[in-house]
Amino acid sequence: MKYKVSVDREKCISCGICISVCPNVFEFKDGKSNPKVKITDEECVIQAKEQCPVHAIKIEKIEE
Amino acid sequence: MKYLKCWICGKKAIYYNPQNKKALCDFHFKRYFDNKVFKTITKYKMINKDDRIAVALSGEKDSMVLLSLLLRFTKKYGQKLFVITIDEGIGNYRKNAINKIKSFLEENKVEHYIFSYKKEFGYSLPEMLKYIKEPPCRICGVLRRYLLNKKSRELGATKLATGHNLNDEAESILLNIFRGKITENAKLGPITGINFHKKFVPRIKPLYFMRVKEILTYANQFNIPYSKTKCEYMKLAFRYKIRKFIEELDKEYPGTLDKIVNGNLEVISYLRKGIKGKVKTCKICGEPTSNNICQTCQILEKIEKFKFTKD
Repeated sequence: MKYKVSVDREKCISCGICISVCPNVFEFKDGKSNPKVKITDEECVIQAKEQCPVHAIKIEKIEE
Repeated sequence: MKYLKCWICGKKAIYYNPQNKKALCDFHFKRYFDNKVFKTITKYKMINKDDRIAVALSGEKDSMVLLSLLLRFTKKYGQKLFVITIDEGIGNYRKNAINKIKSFLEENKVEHYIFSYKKEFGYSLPEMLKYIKEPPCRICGVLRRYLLNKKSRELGATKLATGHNLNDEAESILLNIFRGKITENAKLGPITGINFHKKFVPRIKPLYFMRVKEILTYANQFNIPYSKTKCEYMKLAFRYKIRKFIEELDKEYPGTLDKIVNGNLEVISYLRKGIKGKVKTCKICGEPTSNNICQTCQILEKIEKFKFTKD
């Protein structure tokens, strides 16, 4: 299963939770969270989405 | 840098609520959360002056947030409180969880009691699954509720607090509907088991109206330690599918969870009238049950039977 990840940078509050949960996908860019890659197969992105307090992370499943 | 702003004071927000499209800063989020939980406690008269409260602690986010709130509440109003943990024996799952929260419990000087399936029933959960062909979560749920009730009563508790939240409750309601057991919904609700059976400890759910995301944010923001590992059997449960289903639904139609739970609260008094007076005492162990023999004894009997025929 692959996921398309995006972060709403207007909503992001730089709490860093997504980066601690899923460091392979998310990183700080100009002080806010940013996905390093747009499409990933890491399962931790779901955890990151669940934990984001401001609902800024969006995930779409891509069927193969 | 531009950030989301608290709609009350304009400070940097830490939580965004998609239901009313408002953001809150840490001070106002804490105030909102505490007030909502304390209002739930007082509205449903969950805790009396001279109660001794047992908190069912798994070590995950819900029960840890519940414990930290109840610690503050009982300190203010003077009730006694202790903590019960049930160890199912699934690998090191529960031991790791307990290790994570140990320092928190020691800091707050909470009495902590741990009971395991292995000691109480003779088998751990994975051992039971070898002898019995039923979904693991059904067995585990029945046995856990049995132990929590029995042990909290023996330790002198008058209330048993669990960390069930809004999502859990909505899942349970839909589960009962999908299984064709709508009358079972009468057993839900923020407070259950008052004048039910003399051996039944009434259960309270102070986090009844809180969402998972709010609880997670609270734990992360205010540094409450909690275990992040999930039970390995979780994905086998029917509940897991319903969880994913209503999460999607709630995203598309915000407020669905509240509507499911509030709708059930409206009809719950009618449902309860229907099942009144049907509480019996188990003929084998003497614990409260709705049948002649309680589900725990039935499960243990099945295991013994299987073992007997195999040997």
